[in-house]
Amino acid sequence: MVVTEALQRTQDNLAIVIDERAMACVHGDSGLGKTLSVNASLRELAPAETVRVQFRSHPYLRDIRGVLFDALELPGPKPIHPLEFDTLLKDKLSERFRVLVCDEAQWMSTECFELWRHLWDDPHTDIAIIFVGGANCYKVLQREAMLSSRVLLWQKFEPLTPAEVMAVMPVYHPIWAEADLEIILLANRRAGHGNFRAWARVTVLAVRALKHLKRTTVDEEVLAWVCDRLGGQEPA
Amino acid sequence: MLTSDDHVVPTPARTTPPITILLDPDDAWQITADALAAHAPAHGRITVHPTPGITDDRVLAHDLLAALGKQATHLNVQHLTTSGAAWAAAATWMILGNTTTLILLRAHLMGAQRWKRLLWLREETGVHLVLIHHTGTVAHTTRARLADIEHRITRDHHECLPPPPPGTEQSHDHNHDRAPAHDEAAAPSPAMVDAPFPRYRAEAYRRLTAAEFAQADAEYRRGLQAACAWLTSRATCETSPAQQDALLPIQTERGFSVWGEATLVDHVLGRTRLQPSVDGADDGPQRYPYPWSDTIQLEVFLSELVLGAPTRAHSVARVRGAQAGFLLHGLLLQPPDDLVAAGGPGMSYPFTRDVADRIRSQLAHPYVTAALVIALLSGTGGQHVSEVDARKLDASASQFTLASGHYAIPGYCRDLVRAAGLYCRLAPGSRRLRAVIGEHGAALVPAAATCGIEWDNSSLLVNGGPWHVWTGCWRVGEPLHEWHDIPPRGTRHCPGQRP
Repeated sequence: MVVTEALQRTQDNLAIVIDERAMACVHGDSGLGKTLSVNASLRELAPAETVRVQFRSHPYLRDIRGVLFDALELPGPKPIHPLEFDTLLKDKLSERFRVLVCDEAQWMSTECFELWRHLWDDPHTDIAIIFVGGANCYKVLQREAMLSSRVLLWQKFEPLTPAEVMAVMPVYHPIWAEADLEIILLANRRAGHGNFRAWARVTVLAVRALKHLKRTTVDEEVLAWVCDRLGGQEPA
Repeated sequence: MLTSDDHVVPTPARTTPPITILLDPDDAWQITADALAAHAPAHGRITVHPTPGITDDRVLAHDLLAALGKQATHLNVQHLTTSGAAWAAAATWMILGNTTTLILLRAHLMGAQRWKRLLWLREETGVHLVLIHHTGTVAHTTRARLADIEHRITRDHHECLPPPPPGTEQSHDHNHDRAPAHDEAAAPSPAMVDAPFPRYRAEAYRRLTAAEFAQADAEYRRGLQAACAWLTSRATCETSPAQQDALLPIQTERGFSVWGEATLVDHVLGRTRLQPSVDGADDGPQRYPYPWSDTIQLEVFLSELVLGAPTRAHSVARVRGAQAGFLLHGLLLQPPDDLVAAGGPGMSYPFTRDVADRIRSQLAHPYVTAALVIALLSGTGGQHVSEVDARKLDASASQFTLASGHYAIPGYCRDLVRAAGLYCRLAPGSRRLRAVIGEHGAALVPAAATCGIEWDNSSLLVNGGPWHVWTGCWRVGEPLHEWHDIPPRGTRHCPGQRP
């Protein structure tokens, strides 16, 4: 795992959120390492307490309840009556401290956020909630007064700066440790764009290119081969 | 404030306070936290945190019931299937619990139907509604609804949401009492002593350990004192003092007594099973013995005598003590010969305060709570209980009547029975308990199980009748002392005893 400044900041932030039993929102474009950073941080801070949930696009309330039921490993059939269901969830969440990580939070409706708020507001539940989401996650959550008043920390993930790219990529993969810094910057401008996911694709293709072109070091010709196969894609 | 121990105290008429709308424009977590912290049911104040994402007004009633301390179980939902039933149940428990303030969170999300139900609830219970709107303004539709209703709008949450009284429990809409303990083992109890009244205490002394005898003796004295207190508080003589002086004594010689060849001594010592024959009934009693006339009150007294007895052995000890008390007052109390195996109050099921508390917290439908209490107190099956007319459960709920007899209701569960009568008024419909528990009381079995009560809906009455109805009582002589002159243990003579 490459330790970036964003990862370090995530771990510091989540330590505060856990201590305060608060809510937090980690947001930014996809591919910038949000989920990876949150997961890596929680493996350090609360490995036994973390419950990760993720929903399909535009989930209904019953989906939230059902996924939580399964994630908390509650026994028996799922209750039909929502009051009974929520009582069961709250009872479980009162047993001990848990960190609930809700990924792709930008898909949820106001109604869904009401349920999260309801669980968190309950005086007996002992939870911290981390919302993780894409670019418009901040806008979606900020729009909900009930969340904006409860979220303690907002952490935005930005693309890596050129300086960060030059520092991180040589650690990320050996082929970049051997490459010229100018080549790394060129790769970033053409394909990586400071985005981890994009850099992962570039790296996979660069390894193949080195083999195909029988080179040992990434140069402009290798980069051209890679960019040709990326089709001029913008980072996701 | 009505407690489960009290008789019902009539609540003085009160005017309904204006509705308070508390605005929370920032939807601040602190206001919600303060509202939840203000929840204090024992002090008449409840906070409802509605189940999110639901517009069904029936579910809001279920939320309200949960805030009142009823467990949110599928059983409760099954019995309160209509909105009217659910809201009537909520109103019933609010009235009985003397709830004066209802704080409702997320009130800005309420639709027309919920508003309608809430305003009905306010009319029926007189509760002060504090509705928290997590918005900066009150919607036009809400203003229109409240046009003819006294209300005020404020942003001062400190005034509307007082801190909880010190020592207040903070259990909330999901009741933090875990699944109820099943029937708890009673404190170490005396072993059953199967001996008739004259020999009971001596047999207990011979057969039991010192600790067991101490317990049995305590129950025996309890029964004796209860009997003396009850008899002293009543007009126990069916005849005037002059008539008593004129009554001929019981024949004590063989061949001349009302027991035929047996004498009173034979009878008291259990040597005979014969019932005495009484002559001159039309002209009033001519001689001892003559039967006790107020059998209804005797049944109520006997059922009350054994209330809260944790085991059958405790009940038997109390009855034996009561027999001693009755005899001190010139009365021969004759329970069935097989009292130790009989069914009925105190014998069929130990209805303790803990059992009442479990019923109170687990069950929401007033018909179900009343039916279960009646079934457990009487030892009858659900088939008999289903015929009970809720309107006839009197306001004080101190006793009830079945075909099998008359029964006292302990103070610590009268609210559970009174609830049925109140509910019947609030939710017009069938007044018979069978409307909810079924023709044969089938619904009582899962209801009992929910409360951790082992009960299988079979009548536990032996020989078809409860022991207290089959207990005879005869005046055999004059009282020997006043009830407060019960001698302490070890005293040989009875102070105040008439020469």
